[in-house]
Amino acid sequence: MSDAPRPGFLRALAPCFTRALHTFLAGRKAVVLVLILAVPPLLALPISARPEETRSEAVVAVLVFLYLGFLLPVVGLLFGSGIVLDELGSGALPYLFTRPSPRSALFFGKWAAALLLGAAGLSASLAGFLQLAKAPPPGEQFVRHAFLAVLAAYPAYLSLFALLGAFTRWALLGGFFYAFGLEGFLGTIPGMVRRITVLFYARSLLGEFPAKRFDVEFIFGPDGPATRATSLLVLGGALVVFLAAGAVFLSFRQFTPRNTGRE
Amino acid sequence: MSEPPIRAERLSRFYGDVIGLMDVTIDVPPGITGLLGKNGAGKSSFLRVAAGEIRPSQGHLTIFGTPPFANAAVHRRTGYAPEGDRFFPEARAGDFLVHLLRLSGYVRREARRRAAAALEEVGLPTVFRKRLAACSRGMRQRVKIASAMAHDPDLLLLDEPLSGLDPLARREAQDLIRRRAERGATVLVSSHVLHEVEHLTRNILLVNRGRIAAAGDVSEIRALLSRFPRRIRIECADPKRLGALLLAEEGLTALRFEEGALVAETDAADRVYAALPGLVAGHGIEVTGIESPDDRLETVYDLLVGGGAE
Repeated sequence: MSDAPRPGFLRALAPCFTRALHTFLAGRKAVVLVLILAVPPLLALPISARPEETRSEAVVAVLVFLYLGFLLPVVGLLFGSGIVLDELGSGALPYLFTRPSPRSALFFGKWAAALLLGAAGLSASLAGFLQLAKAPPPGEQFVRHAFLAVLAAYPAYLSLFALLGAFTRWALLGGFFYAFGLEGFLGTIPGMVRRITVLFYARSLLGEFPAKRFDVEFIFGPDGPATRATSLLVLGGALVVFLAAGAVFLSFRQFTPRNTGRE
Repeated sequence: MSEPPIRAERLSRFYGDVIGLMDVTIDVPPGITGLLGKNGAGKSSFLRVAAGEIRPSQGHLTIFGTPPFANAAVHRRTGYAPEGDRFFPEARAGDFLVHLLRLSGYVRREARRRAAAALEEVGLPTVFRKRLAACSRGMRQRVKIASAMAHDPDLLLLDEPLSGLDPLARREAQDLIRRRAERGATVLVSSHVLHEVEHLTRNILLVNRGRIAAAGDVSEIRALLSRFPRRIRIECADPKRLGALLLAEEGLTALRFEEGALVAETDAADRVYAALPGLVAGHGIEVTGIESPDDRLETVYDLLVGGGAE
């Protein structure tokens, strides 16, 4: 009989993290990540040629709409939805789930690798964008808040889409619907309903926009943005809840092979 | 009385409207048991439930007395090689085994040692650093078998492990499975080819349409099958030369040549199967595939299901 010690969560976490990191870096997702994160630095070149007043507005627009409104959910979805589904698609899941290590270790290990890569990529892209756009015309504090917003909201998106991936094979579609249908829709409904979106708290972390052309009431509603503390608390809470729910759900989930008629 | 390694009681598994297994009650004893059935009969469903990959829809299945689904204690004692050969495409063969062994609790150094030993045991000592995507189907099958055995489990669940192997590799894999059983492991091995299982064990379970159609000694099944002449299709580099060699075998009733293959019709398939490894090895003929459409038990099923046998 196997003489190995029973693998606990921490013991199984390291190989899952390492393998996920290697797989992400060697796979197509890394290429997609580089390509989409290269867009803002490229946009920075024409922005840098603008006069200072309009440059400020352009920098804020890229942060609010491109980073927070598009890149964050897309990178979160790219990595998060695949935490379980990539393994299912590659045929690896039966091998992994019939080992004595906790399934949650696989989930957390891949999540941690996706967090590291996504956060590193987003930070590098943002730094490159700000550097090339000759920012900070909006102010140094705003730039710090931009990094905070990106790095606090990305884990929340990642966890949400990881949960979705543990829940359904249609996570990619569901994630796109959430990010670009539901958030965009709920985010513009007047009243409190926009406060159930990740996007609201991500934008709230930017604080008051230093560019006057942006209608703060349109983006945040009549009550304005949430406080920074509230935003961090909500995003952190969402991360914990989504991640815990994903890990617990995965522990009980069975994945029926797709080709099964009777095999 | 001690619990059998695998016990199924009124076990059913449904996939929506499709029946995977239906009301299966069976004890799988220690030693090697062949799980026979044509494609879609329910073999893989039984193995998936036994490996804890999926749960029963109704009834119970226990491994060493406990349900296997998400059960670490069972997974420690079980080695499972699922069907199919598409897995970890980006990984190297050795890394794949090391990863699984680490998930079985081994530290990196011991996992590497065991992975190398397992690859050597399945006859692939040089593929440790070869990408699985670049391996032949036969190689991947053997890596898969190695992954199931590398942690020395008490129970081996092998889903079509001989599929895709050439005759020599098939013989080696059969020897390997036998050796594991001799060392005390219980083995449940599935196949849709009767003679593959016959070389491993006398004890078989015959599955049809999700039910156990027959259980027991292979000779009873064999007797049913021997009433019919069978075709064996052999893909090889030199069909005519192999055909000339096969003509010396007893029971050969016809030979037909196709492009890159020959089809032998025989009423003594056992002799042909027994002679093949020696012929191809002795004369250096490269065989890339072998199949027997008539071995796939349709004839036996027709008898069993049609009421031709008790």
